[in-house]
Amino acid sequence: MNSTALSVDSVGHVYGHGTAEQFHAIGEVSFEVDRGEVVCIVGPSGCGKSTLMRIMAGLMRPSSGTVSVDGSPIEGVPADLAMVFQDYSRSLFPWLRVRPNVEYPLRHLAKAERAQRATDALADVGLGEHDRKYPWELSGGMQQRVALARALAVQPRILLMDEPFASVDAQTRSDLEDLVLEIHAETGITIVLVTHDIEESVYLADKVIALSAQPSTVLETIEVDLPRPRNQLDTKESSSFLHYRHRAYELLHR
Amino acid sequence: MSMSGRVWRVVTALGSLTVVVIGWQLLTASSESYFFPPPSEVFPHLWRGHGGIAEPPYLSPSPSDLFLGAGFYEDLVPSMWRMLRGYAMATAVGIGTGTALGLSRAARQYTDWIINFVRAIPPPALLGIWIVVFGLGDGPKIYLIAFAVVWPILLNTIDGVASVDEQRKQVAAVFKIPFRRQLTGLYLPSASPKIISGMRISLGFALIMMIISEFAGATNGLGFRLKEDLSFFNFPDLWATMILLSAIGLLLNGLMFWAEARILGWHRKASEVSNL
Repeated sequence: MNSTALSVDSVGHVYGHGTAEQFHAIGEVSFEVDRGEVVCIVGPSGCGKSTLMRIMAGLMRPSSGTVSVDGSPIEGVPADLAMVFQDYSRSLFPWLRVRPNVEYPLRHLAKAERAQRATDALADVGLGEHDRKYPWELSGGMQQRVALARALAVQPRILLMDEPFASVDAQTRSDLEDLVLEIHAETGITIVLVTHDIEESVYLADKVIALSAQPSTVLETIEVDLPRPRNQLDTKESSSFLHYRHRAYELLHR
Repeated sequence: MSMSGRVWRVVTALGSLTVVVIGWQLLTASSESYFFPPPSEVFPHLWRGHGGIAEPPYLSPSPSDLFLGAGFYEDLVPSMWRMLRGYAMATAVGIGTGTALGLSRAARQYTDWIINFVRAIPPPALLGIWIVVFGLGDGPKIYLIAFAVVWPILLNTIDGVASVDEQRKQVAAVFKIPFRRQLTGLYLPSASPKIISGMRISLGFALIMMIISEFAGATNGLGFRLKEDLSFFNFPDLWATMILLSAIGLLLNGLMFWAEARILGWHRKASEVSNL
């Protein structure tokens, strides 16, 4: 059985090709994501990480190259894929309460099934108590949990996360990182997460893909061989963690 | 607002209203002007028949009539019914067309100048030709009202639908929401604050257009009565109708306010905590 869940083959992207504002966002990027793996894409800001993520989600067509899921090139958004966006306040629907927000992508299911999935997903992210609130009544971290619950409720096999913790405070950020690890351990879901935080990428990933500044290319793929379950203290204090962090830092700051 | 705050507001409003009515009474009672009868003469025309050239009153002192007079059925109801149908038509056309145009940048580019051109016509200017084309009866009046008040709804719907947040559209795309459900679940709710603000502007305008549409080619209605009262120099009735119109305006505004608070509660409160 082929264990590759998602592969990015020679993807490049140019915005506004042939115009005065032509912008070469992605040079040429290739990598593979195995089933059940956590892959973090890290790079300097403006390196086309978000563009790459949108291409992987099938929201944009790349100027060149292909993205394949389970070996077949994608046409539009692939099945069994969900995404968590950076800006939770613009990703959730302010006119819906928390529960209907989570249930929104599940309308094709029977009502009981829908309710059960939302209940489970909200419990998984620790928001079981807050399903009657509006998203804007919650803190930033809690709103991002709602967005995560909405993504999990569709029971995807691939979860894309676009700088999901960039707009929350440090404490909330480490809580959410641990939540992602927990969910990954429980479900074995394939996760691709974009971040500009080197430490975060090493802490979460099986594989860190370091991108150069735009037009971005893969500088190096760092295989992170840290034991799981990981935790904020032991993992981050271990010498191998520091070694990977050192390597990634060197790549991105040279 | 607190309970006592609300009571206080009602008290101050009633207080100032009393002062205005008393002032009106004092000014007009001492005046010889035929055009400005005192309120003590005007108000009874709302509920008492006066014979001669007087129009049937809108209200009735009799509980067995449910306090409603012949004028209520013969003029008020037909007027409101025309207005309501015109307004409903404008709402349906405005939201429907506005959504279609809001979704398509190309369609907006093609129609933008047409909309601005047609919108610039002052609707009352069409009254005459309207009657020639559509004839008498309720139809032309309803179309005129709809034509006049559709613009705020149309333009606000276009704006609201066209400015749906890009990231929310991507959310809908990632979760493969079918287009029809994107419409009802994303585009319309997202545009609803703008749509409803357009509907509020249009509602006040619909009342004006209802009166104007009845100035010609009508045989009943509030506008018809205003015109008749003027031509017969029946000023007490004229003022009674104006008081009634003002009350209707207040009532419609209150209804709109209530509906808005119910539908857009999320928007008001969410705007307080963040800029959406």
